[in-house]
Amino acid sequence: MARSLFDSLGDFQYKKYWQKFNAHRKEVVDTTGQWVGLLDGSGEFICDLPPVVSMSAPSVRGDSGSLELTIPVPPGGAFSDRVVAELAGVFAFGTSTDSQGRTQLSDAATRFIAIERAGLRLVYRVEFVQLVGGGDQPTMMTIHGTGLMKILARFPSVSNHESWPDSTRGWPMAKEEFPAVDGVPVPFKKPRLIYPVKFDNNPAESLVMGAAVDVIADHLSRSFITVFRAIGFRSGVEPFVVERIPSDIPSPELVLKVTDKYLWDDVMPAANETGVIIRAHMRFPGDLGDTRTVLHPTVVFTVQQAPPLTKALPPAFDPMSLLGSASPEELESSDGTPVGFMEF
Amino acid sequence: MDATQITYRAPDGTFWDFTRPNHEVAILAGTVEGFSPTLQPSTVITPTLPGQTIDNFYIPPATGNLTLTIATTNKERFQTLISRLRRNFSQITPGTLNIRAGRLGTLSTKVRLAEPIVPPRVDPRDECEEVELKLRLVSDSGLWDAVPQRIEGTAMTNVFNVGDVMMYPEVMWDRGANVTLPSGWNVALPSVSEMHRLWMSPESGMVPIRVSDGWRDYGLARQLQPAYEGVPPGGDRRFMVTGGSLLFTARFLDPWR
Repeated sequence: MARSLFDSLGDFQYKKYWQKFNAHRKEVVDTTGQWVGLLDGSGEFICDLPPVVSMSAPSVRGDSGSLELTIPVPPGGAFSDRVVAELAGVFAFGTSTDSQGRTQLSDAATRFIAIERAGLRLVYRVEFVQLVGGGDQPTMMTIHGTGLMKILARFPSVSNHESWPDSTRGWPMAKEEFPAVDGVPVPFKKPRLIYPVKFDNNPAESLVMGAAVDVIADHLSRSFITVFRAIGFRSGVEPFVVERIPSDIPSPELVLKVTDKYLWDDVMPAANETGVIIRAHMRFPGDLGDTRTVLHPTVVFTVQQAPPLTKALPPAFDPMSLLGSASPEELESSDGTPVGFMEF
Repeated sequence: MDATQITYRAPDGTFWDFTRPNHEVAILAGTVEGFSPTLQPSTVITPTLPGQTIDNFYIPPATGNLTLTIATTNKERFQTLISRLRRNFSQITPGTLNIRAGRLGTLSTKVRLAEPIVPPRVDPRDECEEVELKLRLVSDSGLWDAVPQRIEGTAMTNVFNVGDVMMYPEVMWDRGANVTLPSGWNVALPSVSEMHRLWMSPESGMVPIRVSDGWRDYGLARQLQPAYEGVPPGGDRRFMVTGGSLLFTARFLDPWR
């Protein structure tokens, strides 16, 4: 579990800590041009990273972005020790490797790499690391990360919010799996906390309608709140939040079908089609120039209406125009309700 | 200005003064070459603009040559000197070369042999009583260190960097210490029972070194939260240390200036 200073320090002390940390990063950027550091799963500081040997961080609209960063880790040394312990120790040793020697991500702790320059911050989640060495010991470490948008590809897209638990009421401990094979419950090796949630299979209930930018922002936000409430985060300090960036461009109407898969699966095709841009960045306490300050490191998803990439969208609600490339046979379900609106 | 002084401290502690007049081991006049690195700028060239824009500088290791003459009438002594000199320069373990030439005082850098010393000239007549020993040296850092400036006490102290590159503090402490970097960020050093030093630079591995025997204490390194801030060349920054002292070494490209 992440050792969050946010929980151990008081509010005042935590704010002061961040003031100092912000000053430290600014000082390094001012004197050397760039700061690269390692953050834990709560977005809190672990250590500065040694100067980067090479870095590649491509990013395109609608994709999660990726990072490939190589740093020297000569044997011994606090940098090396700390970084290897935090990344390789967590990710490499004792875990399996694939055919190319890359370490596989298991249930490892979350670590972030943050890169800052004047006016720019990029944060990536570490996925796996490769240790490379010429001799008998590794001297270089390549850190592979994914952009924060990747969070959407791992976060449930909730259809029936009321059915999700409130962690304050507790979760039942399950010793056996639900009837899995031929109606026979299978015992767990380790008892788990399990809570049954409802999936809205009724198409009429799992559709969210409205202006695209509102629908997408609300759906992301509600899913975050529901899931974080279920796993025990206090209200108001959720690690992910959604912000709407105002735009003069009118947002087209959208009918979003919520499938209880991942947010990425439900939201991204709709966002691409309606010209809604979703971006993710990590905001730190004390960041200037933002609309809303945060109390602790927070992943902020901004939702903004941009001009659609393709043809002009109709000014008023016209469901047929949203059918897009859906094939005709998907337009009707057995009970006569149109489904498959967003099957692009 | 005093005459140029070039001295060398071998890895085993032996001290050589190569510029003492009338000494049996001395530099052959006019044979000192190099010792300042040739910077490699990475440049950006825009076809429509004149010239080039400099993006960054890379400081390569510095190489330098010098030739020693050994003059003695005693054959026994001659053999001893040759043997000692050959032992005191190594391709693996660096010794410290000091140059006092310009107005910067004594500057020093760690040097290794870039090439092995040529084998002794075999002369069956054995009349050779004066020999030239050509040394090709390399300084891996490429930089010349000035005598460190020390600060201690519990007040914020302003430190100027007169050197050519970023200057990072080296902390020395013997119990527990706390370093306040210019931004106000604190680095707490682990508690120790005897004097340790740690160069808080991104160039170093951030390993505390026990002063008494040079032991690199990896166990202590694990207790550190590495963070570094330095003084940019030509600038000044304020540092504070409690429970120890900070050493700042300005580093130069040209030892002769």
